[in-house]
Amino acid sequence: MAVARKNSAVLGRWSTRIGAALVAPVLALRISDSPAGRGCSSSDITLLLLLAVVALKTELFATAGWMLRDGDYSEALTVLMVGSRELLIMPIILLLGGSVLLSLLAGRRRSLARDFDLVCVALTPLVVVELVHALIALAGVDVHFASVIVGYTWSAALLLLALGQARQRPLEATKAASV
Amino acid sequence: MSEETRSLRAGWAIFAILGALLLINGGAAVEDCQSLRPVHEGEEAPEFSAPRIKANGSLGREFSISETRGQVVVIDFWATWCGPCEASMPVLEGIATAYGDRGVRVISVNTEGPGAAQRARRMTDRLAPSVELLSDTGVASALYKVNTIPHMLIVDRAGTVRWVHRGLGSVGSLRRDLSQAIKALL
Repeated sequence: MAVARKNSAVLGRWSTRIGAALVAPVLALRISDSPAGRGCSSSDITLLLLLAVVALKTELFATAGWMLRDGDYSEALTVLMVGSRELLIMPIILLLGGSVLLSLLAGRRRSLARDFDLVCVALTPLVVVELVHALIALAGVDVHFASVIVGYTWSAALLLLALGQARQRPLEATKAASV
Repeated sequence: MSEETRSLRAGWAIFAILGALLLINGGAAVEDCQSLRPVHEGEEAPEFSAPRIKANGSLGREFSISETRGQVVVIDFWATWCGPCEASMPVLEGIATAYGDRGVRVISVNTEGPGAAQRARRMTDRLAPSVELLSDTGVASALYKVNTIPHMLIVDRAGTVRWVHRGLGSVGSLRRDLSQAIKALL
């Protein structure tokens, strides 16, 4: 009963779910893998990445705004896409690659959709560390190398926890999910 | 402290970081709003200089846009890995040969820096041997706010930008638009 209440409290808000990936990863992964939380973590990481693009690439939006004003609609879109690519390409590769890896390692309990959700949770620290790094860099302190180490290590640790979560699934649940 | 409280606080901390970044970067973008505007028609062409790439692929003497006053100049920003740039090069060659004797100069600015000079020279010799080739380390591209390539401009005799074209579209439409814009300035 208490566990169910805790799950629903964390499940309810975007900010709580994202926060749980950082400070209560086991809970976040369990919720993400549960029927009630299905699909939440993928939309959460998508929203976080979009917000990160807006917060980190504001000059792109200003440039695109000028282009829209000058009537270069397709060019404005191209500038936004090209500019966002450098920020989004690595998370997307890791999401897809991580999901396939997790599915392979999960053995008979694999479920590609649920494994993808778990990897979305595991990737959250990487994005958050990048945001913190950007904030520190604005203060003139270069911690790029440290942030890369911390971000990837943290996400790799969550990926291991995600593997544990995937391998704990009851076999019947994976069959039901695949149906 | 319970896990949900800690999670909520961590979530709000992420919101705070996002908000701070948005405020700082957004404030800077608003402050530099004018400088973020891409170079457009009617604006004076930004002053820039860049080394020429010689026939053997080494860097030669500096080219300066100010030395082209009194001439119509087509400037093309490009890179060797860019397919649309490659496709547009024969169009530039056609412009250089058709209008060169009427005072039109075609300046091709490779945006990959000195490391790609040899490659850029070989590609230009193959596809557009009549255009003048420069190597840019990023300064000219930044001055002209080149976000995507190919990025072409026509500067008139007075040094004012008269035509801006980003991307390729189609080779046929680029050839037509470029020719029309040049004819209007001659």
